[in-house]
Amino acid sequence: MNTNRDRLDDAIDDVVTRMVRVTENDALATQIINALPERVSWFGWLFHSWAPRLAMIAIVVVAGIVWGNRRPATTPQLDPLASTLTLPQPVVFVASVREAEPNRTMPVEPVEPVEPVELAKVDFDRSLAAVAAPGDLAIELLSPESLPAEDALAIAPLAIADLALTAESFPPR
Amino acid sequence: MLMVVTPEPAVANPEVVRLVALARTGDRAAFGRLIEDHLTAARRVALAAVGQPMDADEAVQEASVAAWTRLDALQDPAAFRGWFMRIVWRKAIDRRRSVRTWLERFGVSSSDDRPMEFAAADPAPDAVLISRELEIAIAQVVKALPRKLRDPFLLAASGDHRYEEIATLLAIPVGTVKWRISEARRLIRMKLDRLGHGDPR
Repeated sequence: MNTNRDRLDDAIDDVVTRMVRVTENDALATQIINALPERVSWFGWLFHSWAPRLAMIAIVVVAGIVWGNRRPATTPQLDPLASTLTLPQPVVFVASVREAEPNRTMPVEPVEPVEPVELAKVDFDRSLAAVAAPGDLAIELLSPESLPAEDALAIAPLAIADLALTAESFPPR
Repeated sequence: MLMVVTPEPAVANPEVVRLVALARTGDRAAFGRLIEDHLTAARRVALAAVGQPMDADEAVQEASVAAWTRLDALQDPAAFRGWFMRIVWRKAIDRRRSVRTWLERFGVSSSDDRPMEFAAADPAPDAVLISRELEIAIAQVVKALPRKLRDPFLLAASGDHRYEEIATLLAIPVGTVKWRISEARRLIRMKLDRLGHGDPR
């Protein structure tokens, strides 16, 4: 290493040393000491600061309010809404139902299971009889001469036979 | 060559132990004594990280408050110096990052581009006589170093820390510290050669 290189190293060291050199600042230590907060213990923050205390008080108050306003778990009884639609009174259609004794639960009778309908197994031959086509309406042609001159027109009422859709008309299975 | 001083190892200094014990009880004066004893070294550490004396002092102040509040976490009172320097370094690094982020967000040049302030040349008779041009060139080249190389190089230049302490501050092995300091010097010399400063008068 030649002399020039050594002088360059010295120059680098000189400049770099000055780059991290600090001037005296006696006021800094005093400034730091004055800025120190109160020392607290591990859980001291809970008692030495107003924010955590306020939060704890708020939690207790809210919990008390919630506890005081709690309700029993009951189903609310709501009055039925009034309806303008007039419905006929329900008719008792099952005469065999016995009147329940007070405070007694009626046994539930088993319900006949509903068999799924499969279209492939439908017996069309034993289904309902086909509805007969209504007879042709016979309409007589009227001519002005056939109408009465002064009497009111009278049309005979149409007579439509009742369809045979009664319980007896179903074929037995 | 840059001298890395070897201060006394962290032996149990009874005065430091006593002051730490008093500070733990809330004695501000005792903590103030501790801070005063380490203030210059702490300011150099922070200055090596942030490059600006005002930023360095603010980092030291933040670190002092943090040390005061966390004093109970210091397990070995005799190790106060190394513990405090680590806090100072972390606070300075945080400040360096936040300043750089803030400047980049507002389109200003990053903190690395700001001129690094450094003290005037030593008027002592045995001081190295270098031109102002070379002085500025060296400062610029040092500032342009990668932070991985610049940080240990400047910490070593402060003359307050052993290689082991620098390694602890930077959380890297001692061998890596030595290599980075050597590599930083090699790069500085190479760049100065390119700038025509290889032969100072």
